[in-house]
Amino acid sequence: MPYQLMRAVPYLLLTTTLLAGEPKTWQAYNEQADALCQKARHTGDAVLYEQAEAVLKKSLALSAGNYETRKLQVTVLLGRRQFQEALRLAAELNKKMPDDIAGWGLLADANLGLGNDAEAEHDAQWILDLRPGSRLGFLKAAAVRERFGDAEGAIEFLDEAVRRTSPNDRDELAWLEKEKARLRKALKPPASESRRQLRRRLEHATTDQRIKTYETLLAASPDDFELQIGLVPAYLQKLRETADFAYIDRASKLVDLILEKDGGNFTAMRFQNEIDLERHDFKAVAERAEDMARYAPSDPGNWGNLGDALMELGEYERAGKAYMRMLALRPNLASYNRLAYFRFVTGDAAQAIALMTDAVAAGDAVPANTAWCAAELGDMYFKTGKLREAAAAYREALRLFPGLHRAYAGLGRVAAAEGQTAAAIHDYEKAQSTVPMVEYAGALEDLYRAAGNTEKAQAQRELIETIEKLGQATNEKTNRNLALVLANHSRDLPVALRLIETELPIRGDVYTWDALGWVLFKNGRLAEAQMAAAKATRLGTPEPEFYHHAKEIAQAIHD
Amino acid sequence: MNKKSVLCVLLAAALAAPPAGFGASHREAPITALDHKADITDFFAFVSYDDATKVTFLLNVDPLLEPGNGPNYFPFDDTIQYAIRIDNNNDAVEDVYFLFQFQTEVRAPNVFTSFVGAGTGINAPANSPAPVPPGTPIVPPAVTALDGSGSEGLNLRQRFTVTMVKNGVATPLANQTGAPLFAVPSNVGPRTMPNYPALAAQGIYSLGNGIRVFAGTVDDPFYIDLGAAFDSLNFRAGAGGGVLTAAQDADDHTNTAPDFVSGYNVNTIAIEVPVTMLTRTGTVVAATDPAATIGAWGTTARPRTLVRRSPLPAATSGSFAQVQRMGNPLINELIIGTGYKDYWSMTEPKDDAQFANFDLDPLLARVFNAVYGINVPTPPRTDLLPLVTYAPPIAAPGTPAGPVADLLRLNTGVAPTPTGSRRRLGLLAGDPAGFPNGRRVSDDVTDISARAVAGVLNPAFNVAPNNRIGDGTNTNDVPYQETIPYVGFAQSGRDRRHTDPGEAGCTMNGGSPCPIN
Repeated sequence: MPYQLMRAVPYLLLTTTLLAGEPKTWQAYNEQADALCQKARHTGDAVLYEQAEAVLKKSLALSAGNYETRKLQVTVLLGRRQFQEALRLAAELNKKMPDDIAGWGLLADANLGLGNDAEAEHDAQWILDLRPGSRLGFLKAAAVRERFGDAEGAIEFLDEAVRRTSPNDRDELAWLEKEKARLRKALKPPASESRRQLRRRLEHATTDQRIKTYETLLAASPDDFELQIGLVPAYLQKLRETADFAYIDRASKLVDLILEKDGGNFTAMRFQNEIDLERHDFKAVAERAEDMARYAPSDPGNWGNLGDALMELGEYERAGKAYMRMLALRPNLASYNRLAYFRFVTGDAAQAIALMTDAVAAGDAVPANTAWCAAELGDMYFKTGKLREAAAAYREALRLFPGLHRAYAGLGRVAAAEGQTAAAIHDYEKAQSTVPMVEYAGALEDLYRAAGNTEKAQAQRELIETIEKLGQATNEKTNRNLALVLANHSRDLPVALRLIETELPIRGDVYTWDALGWVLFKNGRLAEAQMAAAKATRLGTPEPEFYHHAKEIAQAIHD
Repeated sequence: MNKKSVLCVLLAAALAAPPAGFGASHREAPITALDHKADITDFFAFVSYDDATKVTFLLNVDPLLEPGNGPNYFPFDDTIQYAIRIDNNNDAVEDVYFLFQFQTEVRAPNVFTSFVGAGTGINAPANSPAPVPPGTPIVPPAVTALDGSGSEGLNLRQRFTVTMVKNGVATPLANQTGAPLFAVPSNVGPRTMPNYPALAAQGIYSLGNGIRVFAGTVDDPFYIDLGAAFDSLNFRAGAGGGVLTAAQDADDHTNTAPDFVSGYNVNTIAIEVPVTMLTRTGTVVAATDPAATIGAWGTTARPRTLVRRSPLPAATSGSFAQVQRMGNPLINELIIGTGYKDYWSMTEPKDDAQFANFDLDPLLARVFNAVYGINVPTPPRTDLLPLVTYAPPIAAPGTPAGPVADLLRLNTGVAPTPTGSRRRLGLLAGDPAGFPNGRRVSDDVTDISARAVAGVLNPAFNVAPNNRIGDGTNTNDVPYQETIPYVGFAQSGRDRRHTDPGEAGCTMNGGSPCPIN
């Protein structure tokens, strides 16, 4: 029998004895149920909640609808994690007696259980306002602070709760100390010498070396939070370098592990945002990052994630503000390049290029990231007609990170624009050999056909069809790039339409509207195509394809 | 079982609440029972008697101050934000408000009492033990000033600031002389403060633009047989057992029951403001103009402990949690159910629709009906709407009613009633400048409120006994003043007298003994 339960047994036995020998009153039943719930909370033994529920039934039989009994019912529901029902009942009781801080406490717990963090904060604030300095207020506020990633602040409030707990209530004091210990573990632990050495050693390591090192160490210490926190960004970096989505799953599993132990861990929530961005769950990121920004307005990375999600959702004004906050807090490659992208999308090519140049100049400790920005700069130059500058930027990217697929693709695009088909094919083949993106297959099909190589063109077409079938097999719902490639080649247009229409609820950006317009056009839905094209071009984004598509659509309508 | 004992039984169930002031707000909600410094006892608003172009507001806090309660007496709380709020466009949201904050200084930390003084001062005598040589000042001179010479005996002294916020712009209001604003201390006694009225009068300050202000300890202007009221309405037989005779009711200067608040002080903040700063037109308007009626209320608030940490230090984060509010003198006491009182105190008037079921079907009316057998109007009590909306007879016809909200509504276009013609029963007695048209210090809000709940605002119910309900106290123990701060200056700590049952004092200036039964 666990030690804590052993200590509880005398009290439980006493109340049971009293109940056995005396007329049973609803108050006595409530006391017993309360004791059972307390023990369940201290020991984690969920069976005690079942026992409490049975006792409460007897209480209600003696005093139907009793307010105190019903509060205990909520406690049992919370213990059994039936948060929705707990919230419903707690709200009903709170309406009856809004002065009762215990009622607000139950509401806060139910809302925390449901992830309604803002509501839980509101409930906890009411307790602190109604009864400043109350133990219950500090307890609930501590839980809210933990949820918002403020482990240190949560410990501060738990200390206040300890001060207000009777020294005779040893079980409660023990539970509070256990909670504080758990929170202290979640705080960044002081790095041991070996951890510092490890970080130094890995500072200039490649992504693969980082992954291998952390994986090896984690195998020996699977619960080591610092190792987990080191490995997740390495996986995300590998994803950026290779577009291999297996790394997202690995990163996601680690983040889930961290959040399971510590639901409010801020770093893990940051990683979750990055994962969700990759998974295109932009709404979730926008909501989460906005919340996190309220708590930690000085974290530039979080503003970056928020801006990224908002850009994809087409909420450009808010995205711009988020990026500017990020830049104001930390002007570096990450913030310059984001603001550059924002400027480009919102029609200011000159500013965009200037900012992206700043990003490349600022550089990053990870060469692949600087290379990425150089390639982005190349794209911007290309789209504004500066082919020589574009080529130089792409070459710079390859110098920084040899094998960067999009830099090869960029060079291929430049070569194609200059009519150098063979060089373009060469560059696109190099891009495709690193990462077989569907748009590279689309470009190669066109280039091979132009070069008179129908066999290889057909092979690229089959590759596109394979990508399409793979998507269907994995139940892929959206794929903007594939939709565009199919529309460009006027093939499988209903499939293209399905792939882009399902993108709209997830994204609302100008690229999605352009792709939709083009696919609708190819499917003969001209009026809708024109509306979509208007949305795509409304900001003056210097994407030549947008205007080419809009012109084709307008011409078709005219005809 | 006779009616009175039935009354006791019924009310034991119906009024199972912490003691509260019947008609005013002396400790009416659980939170104020725990936080008496933030407890608003009364809120007044009326057109100034000596200048019909101005309105005076009084915010009284910290109830039932025993005048002799040294050595610390009754400072305002430095951490509380006191506020008087005015709505002038009928939406129950403040358009103009005044914030008051206090700061305590301890001028002689080694002295054991807050206030000390005698005559021209007392020096160490010839037989003064070492090391203090004879002739050393020991007791300062009597306190005759709030600052400078004559103030040496004010060991604990408070300054205060006044800020006006209008249209979101905060303007500090300063003493025209440039000197600080000092709160007037309690009246310790004739040795320490030999001319207390002269001392207190120094606490009336002009802030420019026609605004005057006063803050300090004063006589509590409220009067009520509190003990009888909370002995489950066990009013004295001499006061008709809760229903006054016509003669008793007509006499505004005689008490037929003891005033339990007699001999007590209270802290007050009084501010007099030109009407032009209050109305939405920025002018003095006639009573028949919808813009004439303003709604006012007072609040107290404390710095709030935030659930989530603010990057700003608590002192500058600006986050306050409201502790209490008061508009009308009866809502929380008599109308709002226990279980809601603190919540009500912390919410805002504009959200009062959530309490409408309390306002429009007051339990107390049903108690009167059950106990006295009187007829009361059937709910919803739309006759009570003028107390919680902008409506005649207070507001001019055509005034937008606004949301249901507990505000003290004052028609600034109604001229003050001259002193000889003022009636304690206010509007109920045909005195147009009395409660519920604003509230003056002399208005008998206990009797008026009880009668309003009994239905007298509806002519069909303005009959006896509904219109004779009363506790038997019709007047205060200390005369009021005819100018700011309008209340009597603080009662002497040494010589104060409470009028208890069986003691003389049931009329002003002494008189026949007050009844016990």
